[in-house]
Amino acid sequence: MNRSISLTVTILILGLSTAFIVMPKSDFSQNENRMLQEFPKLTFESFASGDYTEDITLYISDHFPLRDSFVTLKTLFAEKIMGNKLVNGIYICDNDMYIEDYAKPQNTDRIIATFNKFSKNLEGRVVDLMLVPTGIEIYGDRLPRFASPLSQLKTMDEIYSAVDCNNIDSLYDRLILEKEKGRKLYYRLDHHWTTEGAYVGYTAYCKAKGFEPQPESAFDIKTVTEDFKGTVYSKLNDITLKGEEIKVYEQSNDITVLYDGEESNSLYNYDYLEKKDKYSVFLNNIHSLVEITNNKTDSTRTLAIAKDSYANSMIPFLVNHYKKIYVFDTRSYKGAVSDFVKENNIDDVLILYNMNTIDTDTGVNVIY
Amino acid sequence: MLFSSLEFIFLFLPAVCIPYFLIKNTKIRNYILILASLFFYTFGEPKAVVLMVMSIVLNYGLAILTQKYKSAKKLFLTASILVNIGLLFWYKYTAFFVSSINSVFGAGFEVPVIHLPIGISFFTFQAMSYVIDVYRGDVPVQKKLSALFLYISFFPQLIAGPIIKYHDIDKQIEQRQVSLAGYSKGCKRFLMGLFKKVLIANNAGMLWESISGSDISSVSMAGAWLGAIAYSLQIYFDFSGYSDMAIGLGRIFGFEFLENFNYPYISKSIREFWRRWHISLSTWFKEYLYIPLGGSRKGNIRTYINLVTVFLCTGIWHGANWNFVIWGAWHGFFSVIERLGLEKILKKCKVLNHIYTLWVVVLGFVIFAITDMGQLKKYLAVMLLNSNHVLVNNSFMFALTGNIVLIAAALLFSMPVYKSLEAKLENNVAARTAEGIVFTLLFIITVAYLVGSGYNPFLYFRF
Repeated sequence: MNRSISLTVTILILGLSTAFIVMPKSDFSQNENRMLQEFPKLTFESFASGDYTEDITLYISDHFPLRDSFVTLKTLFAEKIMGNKLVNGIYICDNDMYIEDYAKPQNTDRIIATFNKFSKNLEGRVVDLMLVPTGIEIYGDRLPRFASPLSQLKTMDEIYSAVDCNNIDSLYDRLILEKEKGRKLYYRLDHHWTTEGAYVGYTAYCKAKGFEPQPESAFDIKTVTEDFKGTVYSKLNDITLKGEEIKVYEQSNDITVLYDGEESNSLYNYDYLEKKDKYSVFLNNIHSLVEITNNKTDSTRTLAIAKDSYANSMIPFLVNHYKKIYVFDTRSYKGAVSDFVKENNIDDVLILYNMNTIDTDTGVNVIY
Repeated sequence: MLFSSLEFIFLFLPAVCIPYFLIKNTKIRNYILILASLFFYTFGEPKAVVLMVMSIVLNYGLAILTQKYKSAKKLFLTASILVNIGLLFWYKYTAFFVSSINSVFGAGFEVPVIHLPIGISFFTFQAMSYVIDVYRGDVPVQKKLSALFLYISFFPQLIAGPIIKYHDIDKQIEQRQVSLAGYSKGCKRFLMGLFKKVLIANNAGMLWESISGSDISSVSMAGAWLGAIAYSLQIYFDFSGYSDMAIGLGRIFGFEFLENFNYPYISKSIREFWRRWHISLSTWFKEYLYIPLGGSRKGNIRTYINLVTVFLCTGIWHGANWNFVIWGAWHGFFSVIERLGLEKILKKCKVLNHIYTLWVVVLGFVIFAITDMGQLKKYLAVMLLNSNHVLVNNSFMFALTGNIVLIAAALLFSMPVYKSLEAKLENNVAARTAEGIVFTLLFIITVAYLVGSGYNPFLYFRF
C-alpha cells in the first residue's frame, strides 16, 4: 500500500509540475484584483540580496496550476472540516452572512495629527469629517458566537474628540436605526456600503450642513446587477457563493464630469458591470481628481472631498446641492488638497473615510 | 527553500529525483545530491554558501591532519572545534553577547547586525561530530572530499536537522540500497511530515499568534493556556514534521537516518521527555559534551553540574537570547530534582506524572516562545496568577470553538495511536485502501493550503 500512495502522489506531483511548466501564464488575477508576479530578471545584485529567489517563490505561487480552485478547496476545508469561523480575515456567520474582520488600528495618532494640520492650513474654513464604520460595527450582532472583534467606535471617538473638525458623528446612530428597519446597508460579499448605506451617509451630511436631503422617492432606483462578487468573495473564493445586487439611485440631471481631465456626462460607468470589479460602476473607479459640474443648479457653492472609495457611491447624492464638486483620491492625487482648496477658494471641505482604510491608507498623510 | 513549499515539492524534488533514479552509479548519484544540496542552500542563502563550503573544506583538512600527525592530533581537534564554535559564535551570538555586556556593565558598545545563515547551528555540529569521531578513532578518516561534502551539506538535514552523527551514516555514503520499496516508504514518511507541518503546525501557529499577538490585558487565564498549548503543538508538529520530511527524503535517496522524535508528549518525566524530544541533539550533547565532561561517573555533584551545563548549552543552542537560557535552566532544574528522587515518586503517580510533565513542558515552551522578558513575565502572570482576573472570556471561547478539530487532531497525533493502528492493520486491505485515499486527499488539501498562503486579494482598487 505504501506503493500505491507513493505512486499516486508522484503522478500528482509530476502532473502539476508539467502543467506549471507548460501552461500559459496570465499577468493579472481578476479575483485578487492585482498584477501577478513576473518572472524575475537575474542580476548579480538581485541574486546576492535574495530578492531573486524570493521573486521566484512568488512567481511559482502566483502561477500555480488550478490556483483558484485550490484556494476554493482551502476555504471549504477550513470552513466545513476544520470548523474555522474566521477564514482569511472573514467571519463566517450564519444565514449566509460574511463580515470582514477589523484589524487593530496602528496609526490613530498620526491620523489625528494629519487632520489637525489640514484644518489648520485651511483656517477660517470648516472641515467636515465623516468616519464611516464598516459592516462589522453595524452588523456585530450577526457575528458567529463568541466573536469579539475590536470596537471601531472607540477609535472613532478617539479621532473625533481630538481633531479640529466638524464631526459628522450622527452617522453611526443613523446607520443603526436604518439597520433596525431591516435595510441592507453593507454588501454581503464586499467591503463597501451599499447605495442604501451611502444614502444614510448623505442624510447625515445634509443634517450637518443644514441641507434638505432629497427623499429616496425622488430617485429612480435600479438594480443594475445581481451578480456582484466583491472583495470578501475574493478573499474566500468560495465558488458556491451566489453574487448580490448593486442598486443605483438614478436621477435625470445635466452634469459634466471630468475624470482626470476626461469628459463625461455620467457619474456611473456601466462598463464595469461586465467586469469583476463591479463597485467601480460608481464614479468610474478611482481617479486622482474628479471634477463634477452641475450645469442646471442655481447654487454657487463648491465642495472638495478627500476620500476613499466609500465616497464613490455617496457623491451622486450630493451633486444637486453644489455647483461644483472636486473629488480627490488621496492615494493617487499628487498635490496637497489644502492648497487646492485655498487656491480655488472652495466653500466646503469634507473628509470621508471608512474605519478600515483610514488606518491603512497612506494617502491620508498628504492631504495638507 | 522549505520542504513545505511549492517550489521544493513540484520543481526541486522532481528535478533531483528523475536523474537520481535514472542513473544507477552511487558515485554519480552522490554528485547529483551534492549539486542539488549546493543549489538548495544557495537558493536560500546566496551569500553564506561560501561559508558552508569553506567550513567543509577546513574540517576535511583538519581531520586528515589529526590522522597524519597523531602526536599533535589534539591540537588539530582543538583547532576544528574552535573554528566551528567560532563560526557559530560569530554569526549567532555576537549581537547577544555585546548587548548582554552592555546591559550588565552599563557599557555602550555598538551592537553589530550580523545575518544568521540558515542551518549554521546544524552544519557546524555535524562537522564537529565528524572531526571528533575521527579523533577518537571511531571511524576511519574520510579521504574523499565529496563524501564529506555530502555528509555535511546533504539537503534533507542541512537546515533543520536531524543532526546526523558521522559514525551513524559514514558507511551509507558510499554504499546504500536505493529501491522502489525505499522510495515508497520515504514518500509516505515525507507526506506525513508535510501534513504535520502544513495542516497542524501552521494552523496551531496561527492560533498561538492570534492569542499572543492580542493585547495581553484582554487575555483570560484559559486563553493564555490555550495559547501555550497551541504553541507547544505548533513547535512539536513543526519540528517533528520537518524531521519526518528529512527522514523520508533520506529514505527516498537510500539513507537510513535515526529517529529524531518519539512522541515526547506522552512522557512521564522530564528526563523521559528528553529521551523522546529532538533525540539527535540530546544524543549529540550526550556523546560530545556530557560524557567527555565525566557524565555521571564522577560523583553526584559533578553529575548535576554536568547535567545543568548540558541543559544550558541546549538552551542557548536554540537561539541567542536569555529566554532560551532560562528555558534550558528550567529543564535542567527539573531533571536534577527528578534525579534527586522525584522520579521515584512520579513512577507511583499514574496520571499525575503526565500532568506534571506536560505542565513543565508547556510552561517551558512559553519561556521558549516569548523573547521579550517583559512580555514573558506578563504572559506567565496571566497563566499562573490569573493576573487579569478573568478565567474565561469570549475571545477564548471563540478561539476554542473555531479550533476544536485542529486541537483534537493534534492531540491524537501526539500519541502513537496511528502508529499502532498502522501496525495492527498492516495486512487489512480495506484499511490500507482507505489510508491510500486519505493520504491522497490530504496531499491535495495540503497543496491547497500552500497555494492559499500565497493568495492575497488586493483589497482596494488597482492603480
